[in-house]
Amino acid sequence: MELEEMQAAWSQMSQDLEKQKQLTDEIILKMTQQKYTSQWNKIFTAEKIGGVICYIGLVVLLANFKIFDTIALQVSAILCMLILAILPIVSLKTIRGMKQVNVTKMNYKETMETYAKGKKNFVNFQKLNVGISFLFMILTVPVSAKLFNDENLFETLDPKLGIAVPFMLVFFGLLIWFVTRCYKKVLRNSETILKEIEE
Amino acid sequence: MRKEEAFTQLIKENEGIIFKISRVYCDTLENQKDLYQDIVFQLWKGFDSFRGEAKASTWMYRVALNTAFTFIKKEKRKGTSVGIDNLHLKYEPDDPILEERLAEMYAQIRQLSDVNKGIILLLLEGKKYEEIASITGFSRSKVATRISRIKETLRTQLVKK
Repeated sequence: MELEEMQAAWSQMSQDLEKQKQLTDEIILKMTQQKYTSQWNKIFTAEKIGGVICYIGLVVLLANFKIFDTIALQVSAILCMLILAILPIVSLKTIRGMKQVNVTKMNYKETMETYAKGKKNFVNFQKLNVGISFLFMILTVPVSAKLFNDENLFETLDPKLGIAVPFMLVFFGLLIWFVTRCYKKVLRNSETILKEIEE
Repeated sequence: MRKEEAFTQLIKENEGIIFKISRVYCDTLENQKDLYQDIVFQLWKGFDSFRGEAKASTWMYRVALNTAFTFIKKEKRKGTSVGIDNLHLKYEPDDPILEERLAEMYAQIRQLSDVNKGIILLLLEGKKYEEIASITGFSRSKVATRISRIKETLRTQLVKK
């Protein structure tokens, strides 16, 4: 159908709709009370809880820092603390960026741009997050062994650990592959929107 | 006039616009109803900020299009639709030929990109290039370029059929 034909059909429909008014005051006011909980709100809450847990971990490590008596343990503990301190802030900031679309104030272009950029940042952060989590998991092993068992794994290297590491590597390799695969489409869609705006 | 009264009057006067936008962006009746309600909800949320503005229709189109875009892009929502059971979002023209043409038209529009979907909708609503530019945020010249591209796409769709 060409544009002119569309315009004719659209105009006829608009005229008919004018005659078919069906909204009442009651229906309209009820519609203003809707309560949607989007998936993003759920993620935001989960991240907030995660953030609290991270900071509890950070406080525990800080309070017990003196028990890390070798350079290797101290470096591991400091890296763990840095991850626990920074990751939740970046994570919450990224999600907040996603929620910044204000449909009542922005125009169509701004809405699309803000949405696509927010989503892109979120996906990139999630990818980085997987890598950092892997590092954190490795660092946690000697730190928690010292913290809860007073054992320095750097000195008493257990052969079992040598078996566990390749397993961990395979597990994380699969996880990274899966996460990248999941987000590929989302990232592509965001890129398409941004490209579309620029065209 | 009370806020509620002014708002319901505005919605009643423009209910056709919300219906048409919901139908362009969603293909199932259930989603159309959800989007319809979401648009009314967002208009209500932003109603205070609008009241000082000059043109109600520009503001309404802007909020409705933004809501439609975010609605189709967001992850699957879980929520409660309040009070729209009595709302039969159906337009059944008496003329079967018109019905067929409308179905064909919606199918063609849904194939367009998100940006072009919004622009063609405003064009079909009889908006001038300046108004489309003001609602969408694109410059007048970009709107003109896009409209000529849309026309081309529609012709291509026609040839493919």
